[in-house]
Amino acid sequence: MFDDDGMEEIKQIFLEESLEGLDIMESGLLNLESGVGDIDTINDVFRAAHSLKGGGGTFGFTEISEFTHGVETILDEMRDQVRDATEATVSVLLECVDCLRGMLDCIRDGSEYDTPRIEELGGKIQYLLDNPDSNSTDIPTVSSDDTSQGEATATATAAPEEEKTPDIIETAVLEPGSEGHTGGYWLISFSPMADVLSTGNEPYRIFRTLETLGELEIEANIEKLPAFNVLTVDQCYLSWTLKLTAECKKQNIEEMFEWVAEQADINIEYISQSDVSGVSDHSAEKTSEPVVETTPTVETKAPETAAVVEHTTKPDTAAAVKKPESPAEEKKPVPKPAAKKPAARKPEGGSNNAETSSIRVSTDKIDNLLDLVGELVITQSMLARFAKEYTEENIDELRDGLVQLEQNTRELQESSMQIRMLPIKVVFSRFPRLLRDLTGKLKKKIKLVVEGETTELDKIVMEKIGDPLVHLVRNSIDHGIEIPEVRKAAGKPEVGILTLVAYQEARNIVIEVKDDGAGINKERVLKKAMESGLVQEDDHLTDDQINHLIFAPGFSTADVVSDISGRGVGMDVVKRNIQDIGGRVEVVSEEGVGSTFTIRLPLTLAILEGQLVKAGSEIYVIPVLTIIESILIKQKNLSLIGNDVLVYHFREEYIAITDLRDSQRFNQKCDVNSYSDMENSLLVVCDCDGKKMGVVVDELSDQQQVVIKSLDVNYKNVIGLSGGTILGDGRVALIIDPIELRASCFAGTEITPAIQEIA
Amino acid sequence: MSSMATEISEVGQTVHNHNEQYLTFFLADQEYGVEILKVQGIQGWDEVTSLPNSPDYLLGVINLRGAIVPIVDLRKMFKLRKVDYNSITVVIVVKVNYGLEEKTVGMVVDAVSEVYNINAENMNASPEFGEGVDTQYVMGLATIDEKMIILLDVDHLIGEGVLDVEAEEPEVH
Repeated sequence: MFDDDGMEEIKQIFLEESLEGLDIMESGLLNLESGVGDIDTINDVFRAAHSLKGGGGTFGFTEISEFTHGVETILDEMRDQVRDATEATVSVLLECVDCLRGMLDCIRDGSEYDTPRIEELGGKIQYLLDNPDSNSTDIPTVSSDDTSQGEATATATAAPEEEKTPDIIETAVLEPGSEGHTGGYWLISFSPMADVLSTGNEPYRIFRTLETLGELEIEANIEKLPAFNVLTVDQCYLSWTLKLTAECKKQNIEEMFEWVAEQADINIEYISQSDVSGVSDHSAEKTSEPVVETTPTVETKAPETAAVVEHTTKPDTAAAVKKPESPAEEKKPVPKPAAKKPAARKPEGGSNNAETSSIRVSTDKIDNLLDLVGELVITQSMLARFAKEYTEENIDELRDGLVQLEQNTRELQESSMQIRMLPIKVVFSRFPRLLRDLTGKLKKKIKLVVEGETTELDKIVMEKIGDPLVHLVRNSIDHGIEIPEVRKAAGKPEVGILTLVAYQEARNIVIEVKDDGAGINKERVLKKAMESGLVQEDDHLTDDQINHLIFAPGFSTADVVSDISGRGVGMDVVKRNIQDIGGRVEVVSEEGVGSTFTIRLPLTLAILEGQLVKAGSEIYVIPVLTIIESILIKQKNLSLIGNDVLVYHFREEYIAITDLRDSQRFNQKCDVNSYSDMENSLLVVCDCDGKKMGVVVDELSDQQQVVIKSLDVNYKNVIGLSGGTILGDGRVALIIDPIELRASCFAGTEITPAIQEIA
Repeated sequence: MSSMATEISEVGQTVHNHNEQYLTFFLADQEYGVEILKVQGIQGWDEVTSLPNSPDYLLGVINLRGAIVPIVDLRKMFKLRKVDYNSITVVIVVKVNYGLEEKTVGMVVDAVSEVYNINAENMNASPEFGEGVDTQYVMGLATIDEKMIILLDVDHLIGEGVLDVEAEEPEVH
């Protein structure tokens, strides 16, 4: 639809704003449903729907505006307190929000709309509109093979896009209304003022929208048209008489003219019966009627308007401006067989994982950045002046300047990082909806408590944490919190509480998913783990270790836990996803009391808190987050397992060690002969995915923040390294990825069975 | 008909006049050339940070204006006698096409020599070499002032010769 970049950009803006609007609608609707919402909430939702409709129309996504129209009408009725925000209604509206989201995704991907779904929902909306008092939950689930509903469906929605030629804009739909009609038609006289065009209101567009309501005949009145030589091209001299055969409310029609109401005389009246015979004949006539095409362009500029007039006046009677008919077969309201539904239906809600390329930044942050740049400029000129007037005496000035420069630089760095930070609300906001849908399905009562929504997190981290979080929350709702009866029996309140907490702790963001449910059933987990060979019978595991078994790869949740699964994502994937962004996940669980999953994430992916270590001739960086402690090696604590694995006896544990000092043996086990020279070297004990690894280094140096640079940019990724960084002296230091390093060092070595799984 | 014939010959002419500039450098007294459009810069030799599990001719990585850039020793790569790096040892930084990406890589050479215009006509196909330079990395040979210059195809040289090379299997002890 849009070819050039400019339009592509505008399309992006439209999509972003629309998605935001949908979020507003969703949260508003959820509030309404839970009884928190008031008239303001309805207004908010209505406004969002209204802008969406307007946007859709403006950018040519007529399907969006048509679909939203029905939604908007319902909301408008709610706003006018003609209709109650019943559970059933809100539920349908929420489905519409999902559907619209899907449509927007389709626009973005350039894929085709899920037409059956759109039609189905359109039918529901139509049903609601037709039954203003429907408080019941029995909104028919319209499958398109229900004839009466099929019509309604078609009226409210557009025909699939591919069936239209580009010039014929959404007209294929008009047909069904004419059959089985009882009423008459709407007669609308529309005389806009002369300057209506200059306000950007295009009558043609209004007519097009009207056509979505039913069959439309338009008659142009050219009486006021002046002679050509005195015609001012940007004035509108025309008025129209429209005949709309549609079963709709006057209000619906009025809405179409909402934008021009102040610049036109509009008269809408309903003509019942009398002409009806003519109307019903009409469908038969139509096919033979010559088709008068409207101007192909949508943006009818004024000069062209004149042309339209000429065109339409050619037939001796004032011609009915009529849209070309669509081919006969597609007009048939014949139900589409259910099998025709696209198999690859977009999954609902869930992962809108499109990593959008732009973010909204508050102006405060930008202003702050500009202030800092200003300060930097001042510091720079101070230093420049010093360079010019250099004397021994003013050396202090240089020192001051450098201190200031250092501070400016640090602040600038932090401030630039701030730009990428978004409140975690962005992720949390999807949970009320998830909770609503799941509790409904599972017949559970759960209250969601959210704390620390304003905690800020790097945009990339945010995008990557969404899915794992959804999984954890789902898990808590599905398997954690019990059904009310069980809870009651256990002496707990019927309503379970699911708590989402986010806060900052040093240079990490901590997110907790807490429930007061049943907790992890250790017995079953252990049994399952033994069956799948993860644990041996005679292994003695602490409760904590058992709880963490749920994260083990290959630990199938299939029959330990119940239904809602089928998403094919296990806890190991959750864990891996979190690790991929440099985070950690832990679980604390007590049977009968509940579980808490704690996720620790780096504030940003671009910067890492690193421990610099010297090993041989190189300097490496080890992420501070993974270091448990560093100890001086005592040779007596070293021992050999098998003939090739060196372990270190440390706090009642034997830790496999690797030697960083010999770069030739990176990713390998220690040289077993290097025993002797390890005395008095340092062992950095790292936590690698719950298992420990010792790294032998010569000395520890600074701890500092390092900017991570991928090796892949000019070379390729190297196993055991997560990238490189540039140190203060300009040298490159490599950043160790302890988990990967451990896996590759001890691949094929049976220390614990899980090692191979990771490798 | 006749006009068409002239057109064709004109087109043919422009192809033959195709000239390219090459930067040449020395490696063990032999002069090599690379397309100058591929060259991003020339800089002195500096310490590198060695990368584990990489071929021996990949010396390591350096910081090139904030980017991490791998450095290849062409002497080692061509299996020539090793020399110590000294003050005229230079790194030619080239930008190569690798798949859909562009990668910046530095090549350590003995010394930089000249920039020549080399006409495609004057380029000879490369004969089979013995050891050392793989013919697939050679675009052709050119003769200038009775010297032979080996023109290297850096895209292939770096792409297949360095980036595609898998890390050496760690020896199992």
